[in-house]
Amino acid sequence: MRYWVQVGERTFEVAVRAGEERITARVEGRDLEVQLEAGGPGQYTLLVDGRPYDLAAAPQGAGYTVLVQGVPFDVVVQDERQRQLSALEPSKTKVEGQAGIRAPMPGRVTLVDVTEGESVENGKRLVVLEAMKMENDITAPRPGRVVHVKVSKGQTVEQGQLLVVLE
Amino acid sequence: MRIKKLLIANRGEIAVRIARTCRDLGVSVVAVYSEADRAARHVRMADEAVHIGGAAPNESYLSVERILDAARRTGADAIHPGYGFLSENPTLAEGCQQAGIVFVGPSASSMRKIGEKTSARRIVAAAGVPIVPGATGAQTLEEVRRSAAEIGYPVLLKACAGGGGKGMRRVDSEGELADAYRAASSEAGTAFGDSALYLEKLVERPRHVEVQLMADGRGGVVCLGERECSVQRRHQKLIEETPSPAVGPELRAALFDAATRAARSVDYANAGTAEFLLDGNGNFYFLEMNARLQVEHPVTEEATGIDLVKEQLNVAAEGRLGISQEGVSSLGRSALECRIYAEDPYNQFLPSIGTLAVLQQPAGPGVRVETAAYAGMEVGLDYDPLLAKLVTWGADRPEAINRMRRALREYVVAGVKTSIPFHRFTMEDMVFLEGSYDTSFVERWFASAPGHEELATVAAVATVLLAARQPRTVASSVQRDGITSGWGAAARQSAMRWR
Repeated sequence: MRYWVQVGERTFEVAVRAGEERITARVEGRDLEVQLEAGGPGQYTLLVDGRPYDLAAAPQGAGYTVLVQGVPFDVVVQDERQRQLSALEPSKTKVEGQAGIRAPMPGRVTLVDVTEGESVENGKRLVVLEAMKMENDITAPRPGRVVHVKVSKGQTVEQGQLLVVLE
Repeated sequence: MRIKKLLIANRGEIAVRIARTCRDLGVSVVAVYSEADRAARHVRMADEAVHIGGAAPNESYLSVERILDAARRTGADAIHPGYGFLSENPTLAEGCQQAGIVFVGPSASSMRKIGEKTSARRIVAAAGVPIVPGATGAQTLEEVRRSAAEIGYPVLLKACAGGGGKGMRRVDSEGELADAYRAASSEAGTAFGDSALYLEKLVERPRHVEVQLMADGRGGVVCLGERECSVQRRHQKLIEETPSPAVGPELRAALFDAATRAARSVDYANAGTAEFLLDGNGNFYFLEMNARLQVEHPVTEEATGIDLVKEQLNVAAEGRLGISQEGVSSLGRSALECRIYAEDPYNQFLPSIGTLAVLQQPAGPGVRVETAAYAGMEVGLDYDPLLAKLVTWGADRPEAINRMRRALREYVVAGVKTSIPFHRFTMEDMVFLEGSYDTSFVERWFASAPGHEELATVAAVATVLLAARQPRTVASSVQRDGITSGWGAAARQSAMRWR
């Protein structure tokens, strides 16, 4: 089986062959003998050519957050079929000249400081997000006109959610 | 008198911490909890628990009325406020006094004098404590302009009622002053309901050193050592250690003297912390007095062997100190604390929420974990992102650091992002190991480019094997937006603040 694995901003192609005795993963042109053992909910040991790695995994968005020796990675896996399907999806390329301002953190919208149609300067405060006692001003990265305001005061947003579209 | 029943007006790890000492002393514990905290660990640990309102802090943990009402209903004879929430609110201290309940902290009048920054500066300066050059009262824009010209740029605009870096602005030249004044003033108004500002000389790349003290309200003050707190992000501490690598015996004696004077100048009682800025030339300046138990108090406890909460209850009930300066002379131990926050250090230390799918705490010689977290716990938006405090100690600094490295390696948290990777980086960093760091230390993390090529490959293979077991791991699209991390986004930092 072949898989495409997005780890942060990198993509790996991983081919897995399961033999009777052992599993071999081919990644970046190297064959690795691997074995995954569960050790409690969400915790695993991955043996790679006999070397143990301490792993923990939790669902996150469309994939998982995986900690390897304490270092976190956001990982999304696709198999061949899914890869083909996603290639057929209409591409979500941006409309020319528009910029989506997204939430850098999960939070609650405590203020919307712009209205649709308004022209804003570089650095103008658009939205204020609050989470865990911390307020975060979301400002315009460049001058432009506000085409859409996608959130309203009091709303809870996820990390990466679209807040405002600038033109 | 002896305290028999104590109400803890707080939540999270500090409520658990206080409850533990109560258990040791045979004091029964009343917990209060908000709607969001029904399943919280501090509630489970208590003898009685009172529901005090909604998840939003001002409907529960910030309501003086509801806290006092809970104390009256349960017959608690004392209230411990912990830190944050109502801990430095004189109204609760006053309310306790009127209700005949012991407040575990300083008097309302001490709190008022030391809590408002400009009046505190006036009072301690009169007592001979060095303060950063600048004003001792609220200033208009014109007054600020004049003082700034006198003491010279760069300067710092600060909120009179402030704290935690809110309503604070660095100003490098007169041209920036008016805009900075407006911004800081409006921020202070929103945050504290008081938009008054004052000006101070900016101390460049300072260190943050604080003195832990216990006082009896009648001039008796015992200093329990200093803590070095220079590793910060957004003016909030990440790591604390004692002794400070920057403090020798002479400077320590001078800091103790200044802290003692500051405490006496407001008839301070109970546990308090005098915070100082230390410049590169060994000059120090009083910053503020934290009129409460600090987050980082376990560092001092492990270095001295003294249970500060026990001493707090003792002073509050008896009106006298159970310890003496001679008795404190520290065990000669070094101790270190790493704050484990639900924040993503790869994304500007912004908050991270989710379910704690995996939680494995470290243990072993020289390791203490203060936490209210449990596997399966929801980490939500409502409260402070502090998940745990990891404290290690040793005969000397290298031993404490080695144990911290070991403990951080054992610590596994999955489900939310945490500051653990930052701490692991710090425990290997030359500048930290030398002890020569200042408040700009966190920039070293942002400047480092962790490759982790090998570990990324392992993550890829492991997730494929997981996907084969659990179909849900295989997803059809990548949802996460690429949020660029790194110091390039430094501008974002100035847009963040605590409330």
